[in-house]
Amino acid sequence: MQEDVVFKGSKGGLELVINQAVDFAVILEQLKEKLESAAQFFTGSTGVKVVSGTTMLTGDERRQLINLLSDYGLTLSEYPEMDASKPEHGQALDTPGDISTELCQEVEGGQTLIVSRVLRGGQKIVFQGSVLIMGDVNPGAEIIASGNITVQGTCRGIAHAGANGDKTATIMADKLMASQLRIAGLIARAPDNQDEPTCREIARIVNGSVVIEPA
Amino acid sequence: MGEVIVITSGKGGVGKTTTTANLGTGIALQGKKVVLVDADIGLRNLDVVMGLENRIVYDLVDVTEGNCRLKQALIRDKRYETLYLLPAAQTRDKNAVSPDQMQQLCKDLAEEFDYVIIDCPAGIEQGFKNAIAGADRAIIVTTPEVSAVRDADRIIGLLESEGKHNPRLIINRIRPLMVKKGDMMDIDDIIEILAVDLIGIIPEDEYIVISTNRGEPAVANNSAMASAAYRNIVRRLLGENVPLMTFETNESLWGKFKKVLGF
Repeated sequence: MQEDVVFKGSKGGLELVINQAVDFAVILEQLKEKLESAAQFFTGSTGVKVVSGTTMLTGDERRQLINLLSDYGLTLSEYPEMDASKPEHGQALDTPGDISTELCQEVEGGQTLIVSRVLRGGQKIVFQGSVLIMGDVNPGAEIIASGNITVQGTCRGIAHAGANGDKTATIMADKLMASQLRIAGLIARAPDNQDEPTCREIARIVNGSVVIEPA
Repeated sequence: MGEVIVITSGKGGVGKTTTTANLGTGIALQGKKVVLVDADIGLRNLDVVMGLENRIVYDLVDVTEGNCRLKQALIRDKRYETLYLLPAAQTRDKNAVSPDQMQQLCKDLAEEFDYVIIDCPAGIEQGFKNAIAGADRAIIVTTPEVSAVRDADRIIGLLESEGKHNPRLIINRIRPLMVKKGDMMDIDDIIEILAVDLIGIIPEDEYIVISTNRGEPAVANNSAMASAAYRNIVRRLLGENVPLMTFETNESLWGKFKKVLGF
């Protein structure tokens, strides 16, 4: 039987490589078998980094994957999005293990770094490309990206999109309460008495100033 | 040349940052040019207490590393024209700066400002050494607790070994009623142990919590007890002779009643 699901041990933890050419139902089936046969092996491990193939899984497929992993005491810790121009099957995106320290990556543009955790005060992400944070960005945390920044949660830290000078870059968050928004060379600071936003908002440069509007 | 004062304590949570913010604001209220320096790199708070967090672009480490000019990193207070803040970096640690660099920085700042007030981090390691490096004098903050007094004593010793003598003492968060009952160390006990000059005592005051959360130093408030105490310390720092505050212990009505009845 061809193995379409492979677990790999890496420095950053456990990696799950999925062959996306195969139907997702088959993937799930194989994964279940693997987990079942090696249930002993997996106890104690917590995070699994998914290193998938060409395309992203759909939201529903992702949920199924998370559910299955959690049945065996595993959690999905990181989930990189691959660029369509890199169809190399099973190629691991070199996501760094420790993002609590400053992270600098020299990757060709068009990449997205996905961070599934809360970014706390003093933590800093520097990335060539776009950054998606699945969690909150707390005060004192800093994200610097050459592309766009999206926060699926509340953004209370400092976000700098288009850090290399891209004035079309945007910053989006479910609750955009950043202490500072920087796009390219412009800096906008939050008002001193900031109200909690009621909807998802996006910041971009319009006529030379940073404008925030509902997304 | 201005004067460089470091606010230190050894123990954490005794009110160094609150004291820095209030003394600095108090001195600025007297028309002096003041800069507050947050030396707590990696755990900065002074910017939050001053309500200036969202104005930070450059910080102390950017200055020492030459990423910006000193003037670019200084944030002018939103209320008082002569008050400035030099914020700490949040994404770095204490080793990002050396005592020599701090000394130079203090020297540069003292040329521009009448007072340079440094908020020292807790502990006695690198951060402490950096913070005291450029200071002309020190103010020790302690609370009426055995542990805080013990740490203050240690700090005074370390300051002396660095050639910084005669620090002044602030006793913070005094609760007059507890002192009266004998449940809290009293001022004389603390001074006897530490053998340094007292520059002020500050009563425990809920308003400090409110003002800290709002990002507005309490010293400008006219009704709070702690604010008056901070204003007195400011006047003493500027050379005035102000008597120490005495606290009337506000006994409850029932307590007074019992006294009348002779219980």
